[in-house]
Amino acid sequence: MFSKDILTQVDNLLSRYPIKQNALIPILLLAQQENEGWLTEEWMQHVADICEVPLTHVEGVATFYTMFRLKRPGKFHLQVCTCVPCCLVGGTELLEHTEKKLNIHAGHTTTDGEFSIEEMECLGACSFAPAIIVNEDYHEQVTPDKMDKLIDQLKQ
Amino acid sequence: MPLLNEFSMPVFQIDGEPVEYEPGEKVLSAALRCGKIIPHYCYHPGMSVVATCRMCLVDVVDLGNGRPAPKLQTACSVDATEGMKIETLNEKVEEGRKLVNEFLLINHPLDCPICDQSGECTLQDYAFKYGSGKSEMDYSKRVNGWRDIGTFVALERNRCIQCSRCDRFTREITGTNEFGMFNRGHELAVDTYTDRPMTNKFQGNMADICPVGAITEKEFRFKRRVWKLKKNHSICTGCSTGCNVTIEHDRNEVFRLKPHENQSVNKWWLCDEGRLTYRKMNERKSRIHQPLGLIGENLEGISWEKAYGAIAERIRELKPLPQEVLALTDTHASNEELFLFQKLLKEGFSSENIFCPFPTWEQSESDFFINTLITTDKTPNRAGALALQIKGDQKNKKLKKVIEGELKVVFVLGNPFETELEFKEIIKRTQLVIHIGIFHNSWSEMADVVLPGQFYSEKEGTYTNKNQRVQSTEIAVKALRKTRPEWQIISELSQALGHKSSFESIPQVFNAMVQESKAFTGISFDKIGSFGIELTKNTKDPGKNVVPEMTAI
Amino acid sequence: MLEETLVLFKNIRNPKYDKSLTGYKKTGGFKSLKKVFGMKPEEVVQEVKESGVRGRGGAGFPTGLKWSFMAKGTGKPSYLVANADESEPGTCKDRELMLKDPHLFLEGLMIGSYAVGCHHAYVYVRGEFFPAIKILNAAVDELYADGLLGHDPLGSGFNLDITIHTGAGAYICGEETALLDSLEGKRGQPRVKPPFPAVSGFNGCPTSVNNVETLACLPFIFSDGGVESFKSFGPQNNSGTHLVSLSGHVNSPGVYELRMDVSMKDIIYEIGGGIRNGKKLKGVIPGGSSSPVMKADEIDVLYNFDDLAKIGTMMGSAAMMVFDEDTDVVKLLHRITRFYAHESCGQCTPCREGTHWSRLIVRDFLRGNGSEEKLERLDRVGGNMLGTTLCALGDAAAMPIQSFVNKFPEEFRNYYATA
Repeated sequence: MFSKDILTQVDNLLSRYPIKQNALIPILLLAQQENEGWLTEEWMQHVADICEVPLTHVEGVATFYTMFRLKRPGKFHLQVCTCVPCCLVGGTELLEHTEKKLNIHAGHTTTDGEFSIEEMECLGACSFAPAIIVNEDYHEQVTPDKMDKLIDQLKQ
Repeated sequence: MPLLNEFSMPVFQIDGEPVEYEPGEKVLSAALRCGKIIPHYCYHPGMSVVATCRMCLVDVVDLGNGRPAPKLQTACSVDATEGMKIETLNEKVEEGRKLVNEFLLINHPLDCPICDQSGECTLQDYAFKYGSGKSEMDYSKRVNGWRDIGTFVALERNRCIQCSRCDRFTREITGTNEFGMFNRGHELAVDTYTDRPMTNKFQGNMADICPVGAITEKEFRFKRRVWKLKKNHSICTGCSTGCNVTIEHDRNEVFRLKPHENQSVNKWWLCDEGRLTYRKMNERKSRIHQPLGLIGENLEGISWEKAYGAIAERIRELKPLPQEVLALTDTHASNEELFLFQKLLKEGFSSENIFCPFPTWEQSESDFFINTLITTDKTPNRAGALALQIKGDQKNKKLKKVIEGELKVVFVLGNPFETELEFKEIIKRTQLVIHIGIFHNSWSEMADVVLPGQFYSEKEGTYTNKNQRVQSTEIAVKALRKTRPEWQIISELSQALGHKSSFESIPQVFNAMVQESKAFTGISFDKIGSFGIELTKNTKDPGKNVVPEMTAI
Repeated sequence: MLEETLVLFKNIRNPKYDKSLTGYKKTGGFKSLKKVFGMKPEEVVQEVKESGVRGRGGAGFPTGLKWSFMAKGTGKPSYLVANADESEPGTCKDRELMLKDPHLFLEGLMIGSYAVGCHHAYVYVRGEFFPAIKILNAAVDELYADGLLGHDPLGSGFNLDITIHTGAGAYICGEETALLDSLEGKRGQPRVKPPFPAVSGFNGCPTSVNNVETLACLPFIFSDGGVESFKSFGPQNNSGTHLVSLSGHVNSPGVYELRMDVSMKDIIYEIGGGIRNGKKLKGVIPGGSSSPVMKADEIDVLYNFDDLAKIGTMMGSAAMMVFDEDTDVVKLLHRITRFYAHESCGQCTPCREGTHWSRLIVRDFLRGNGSEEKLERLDRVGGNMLGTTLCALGDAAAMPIQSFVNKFPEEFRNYYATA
């Protein structure tokens, strides 16, 4: 579960709110980070104990928000936006291109566990569309060529 | 039109009619209290308001300040105010109800033919009343898999209309948080998330509050169509709380108990153990079917006249002194039965040797009201016995003394002192043992005469609960042909022994009890009504032990 | 030739701007906060009212009026929460502010906190904005180090803390009561109103939720002559400049600071450089995907709250999405309905079922199974979500459906006329 160093971060988070439950989402995101990008029942119970809430509450929260993943993602999680503005300038085509390049559909991971693709709703970079996020980094005005170069770069 | 303010509470209008409300009350709550039905699913008076089903949409033509609300409002979330005018019968509201109904039916399966809720399903009722009658949904409905949610209730996830009453129940009422809301949007599921059976003792209530057949009681599943059931108001006799119930039966078979609302006792709830007491109502094998008399070595069936005659004769022979007579009863007996039993001893034998067991019992204290419903005293009338000053204590010291004296006649009502084998050994050797009871037990085996009584569902009676509230039962199912209610048996026995008093009805007995017993002064039978009435004087109960929240019993 | 009016937000359009605290102070930062600390909170609220600034998050509610609703004397702490959950499709202006001029926003947040009596302000940032979260946290650290946050900043006697809180991916958390539930560590489900957040918000305490850009307007408003200057940038009741996120088929998409009295035509053709590839304009979604669509012949209108409301649409979050003659409108509507179906929280019946159903109907058109009957049904289902839901997402889902069906019916009919 949380290491000693991360626990100080957790304590700091808990101290910024009047009630422990209020810190649930940031702590749960931290837990996901610690567990290689996804949440297991064990981790959810651990966070439930820290924030003093029932397990069903944490499960309810984890299944509500898009960013909480209950399946292990790839080492590089490609989140491609296909929402309205990105869709107007080639977001859908970008997603299809990425799926072809990696030979998997959105919502799946490559067999070597390196890449996974997720189709996203608006990422808030609309004037700089098409936009994608790789793990925690934004990439904007991504063309199929740029995507190819990016994937090749990550493969190394 | 001016409002005639002969009401004591402030008033607003629904469809031109005045409706009283309490300050801070919601429109829907006030409307329902006054008998004005506004259709709704997610609202429940015992839980928080979420206003998510949108079925209770009404047209607020005047917010109380002369201006209308800009759009339809949910009646469950609008605070009633003086001068407010609500319309529920106009076209806008009809359209609103129609569209909510349509939206609910696009994913709800057409399970009515196999669904237990049919006949008491508000979705069915409202679809019939407000629905369009034809489906315009061309696509596949959402389908969810099976989930095991508990020992007492079953879940059909496809039928759920996401009203979230069950989620609020386990969060606000029982505090066990076993249910929750998961996923988002049209995948929203309200259940236990994984196969994690619930362990709370009030699961049956979730089947009651579920407006559709998503949560149903396993005991009742597929047994009987609800429109065939007759309903009678009674009380649960599983413990001393005396939760109000409806006994639902068909052709003399009881199918289930449902809670009856009583804000002073159980609010809207009933525990699972209490629900299961219906099984005993159908129990026939171990019942005593007719009066029995000891002829030779065996108990054989005899007529009532012969039974009373034999008892009277034997007593004339024995001529027992007051200390030679003993009456034992349990606290399952009603107030009337205990009162008449006590009278029989006093008038017939000048004896006060009437005892019942008074072990210690526990009442829990909890932040969650529902946890206080279950007590460890599994009899319904301990407080009645105490009020009538039936004798007894935790260690049965006084009773022991009496038993060790010379006893000639012992009357036993019910099944008291079940585990006191020593007492039973001594009493076995008494010359005349009379058992008045419902089920065969070791007392009936050792008795000389057995007089068959009737179970709670078959007779009238009043019982005093742990908070000194007197409540009554009514006759629900027909009793076995050759049995009689115990109050009648004791009264007839009294007469057979030559005593003066005789009683023809429960109210008569009750009112005599009020006259003769201090604890019952100030009340009368007609004041009991549907909600019961509290005794004016509190009798101390030395065996009551208040504990913080009980977990397992 | 229409140009940007770079006044309030000129720093974000300056690539050489130093966004650190030192850099911000060099351009005159925190002078307004000092002035505000010398005023009474009621006076601050009054001045904001006079400036006429309206919420930049989409609803356009007058900010000063919102603050005046805050319940007083409850014995509970008051809170100010900045809504940085920018998820309305088309909108990317708050992220520009947070990335490029965080201290402008933070100063505005501090001014707002003082006005409503909040000693601990929260910034609810959408979880996907990793770069913005990092920059904001660093900026807040700078403020603590400088003594502008924490105990007795600038000798005001008004202790103030700021916490940057992350969301985890839900458009619905942009709705103020859903945001408060999410901030409290629950599912982001909108609450029944009343009670309003100004009476019972965060943990049951009086709370005001304000958009990032709205708060970022405050330092200017409290500069010398700020109120009058702010009012001068637009017609009455539409004060100030604002950041417009222009996207879609224009030659120069981007985030631009504009006055409130410029026409949409000018924005598209002069700021945006016209339609790319020499194509013709087909339509514009004027204020984020929740606003009713406009056809090419309707764009001769001033781009502000009231002028757009008059013609039956809305400016919302000032996110203009432009699409050209080659755009398949039915596919576009499908993507929009898919968005709302994905983002619906699922609590209330009309939205939960309606967003899903309407999307299935549009998909049916794309699959070649359309009909006149289905077109009417789509209009009806969309309309049934309007005004019947718990929160505004139902309305937001309904308006695009109805506007597309009623303004571009031929496009739908093309899908089945040939069949």
